[in-house]
Amino acid sequence: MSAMTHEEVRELLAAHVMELLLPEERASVVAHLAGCAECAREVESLRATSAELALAAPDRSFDARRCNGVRSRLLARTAADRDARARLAAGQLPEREPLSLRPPHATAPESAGGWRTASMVLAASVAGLILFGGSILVQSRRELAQARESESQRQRLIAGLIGPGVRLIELAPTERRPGSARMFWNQTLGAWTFLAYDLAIPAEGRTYQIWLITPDDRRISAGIFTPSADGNAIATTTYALAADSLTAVAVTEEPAGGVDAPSGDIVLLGAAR
Amino acid sequence: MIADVRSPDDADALVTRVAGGDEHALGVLYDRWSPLVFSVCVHILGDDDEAEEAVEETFWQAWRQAERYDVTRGAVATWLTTIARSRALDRLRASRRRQEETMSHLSETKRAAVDATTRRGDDPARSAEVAERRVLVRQALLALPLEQREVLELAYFRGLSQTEIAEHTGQPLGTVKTRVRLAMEKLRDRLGILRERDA
Repeated sequence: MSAMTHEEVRELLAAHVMELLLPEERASVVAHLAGCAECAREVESLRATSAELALAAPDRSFDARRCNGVRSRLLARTAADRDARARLAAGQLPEREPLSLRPPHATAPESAGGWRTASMVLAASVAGLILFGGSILVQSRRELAQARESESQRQRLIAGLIGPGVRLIELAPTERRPGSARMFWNQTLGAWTFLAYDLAIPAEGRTYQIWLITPDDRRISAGIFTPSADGNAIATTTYALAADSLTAVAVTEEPAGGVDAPSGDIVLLGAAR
Repeated sequence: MIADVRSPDDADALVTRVAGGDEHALGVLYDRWSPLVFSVCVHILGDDDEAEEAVEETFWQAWRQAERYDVTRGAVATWLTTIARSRALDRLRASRRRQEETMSHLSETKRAAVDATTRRGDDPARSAEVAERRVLVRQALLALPLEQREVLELAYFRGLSQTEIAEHTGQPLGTVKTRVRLAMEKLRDRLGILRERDA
């Protein structure tokens, strides 16, 4: 397209600030603006006008649950971002923007009096993440680079740990054996984050399974996990449960793949207060 | 820019803190402006779930680009709503690429062009200045001829190109271009932006 005249450009400035021009038109306008102070001033005032158009949007209520959910996810992303920047500054990791932590829209309801197995994401054995004293250490750059999924798992983990609606359930071993665990229940997000330490590695063909125990003695499976070689594990899941519907969290040892109802010994147990 | 749309100093200071990596400041910014941002996003997208995602992306971009905020170019509210519009239109256009726009949506769009300037409700924005400014902008829009208001609605909130507006309204492209220009210039004058800046 040949160079536009001043008058031709003037005709297009309103469309330009609203990003309505075709690429070649836009290129001509931008080139003209670089050398025309008058048009540049015109663009500034039209841009300000365009920006204010948004204020004409009809009022719509942003309901509290939705608003709080976005807030939690946003702040989890910023926390992860800050963490990533700090690691970048320390030369530890390539920079990568945290992804959105949006939970699924619909969480399957509990079946009446029945059992439900929620899909559990295992992080510890796959991603090389260890939670230690509240900070997340990345065991290996190579592992992180290989497992892109681990990044979103890490962010989901952070989202489950923070926010105003997080309850903590401490789990202790039921016998004289090593191990402990914590379950963070983010009631706003319906997110469950399970962190275990110093657990014995289960025997071949066996696994650990987490259970949410309700006041009417239902035992809802919250997934299975296998600790890493050092006995630590992180697992997360999402499941909507009413605030008054949790009595305890338990961990049992079960056949590999998990079971519909607890059958093995309770290894860890923690009461919900 | 008119003085009453200027964000209070504390709003500018908040953005400065956000630029410095202060998450608490972002939280305050979010609490103050997310209702307005949601209103913009849901008006563009017409879907609460999609709007929710766009709100998150808006504040995420604000977090990442806060150092680019230029207090001399506008208030915090318009900075955020400009980002919100871009993010919402990105989603809208992506959605359009996946699915043909239906005629029913177009008729809704036409109604929305009128609704945008006439509907009132409880203002979710906490800032009285912005609430007043919203009324002024709506009044200024309402004062435009209907056909000019319609092209602004289609261009600004639906992200349609001038060619697409011409197709949807059945008007010649040249007419659409003229309406866009006239509408924007009249709106600017009614909002007092030119007078303020020229002064």
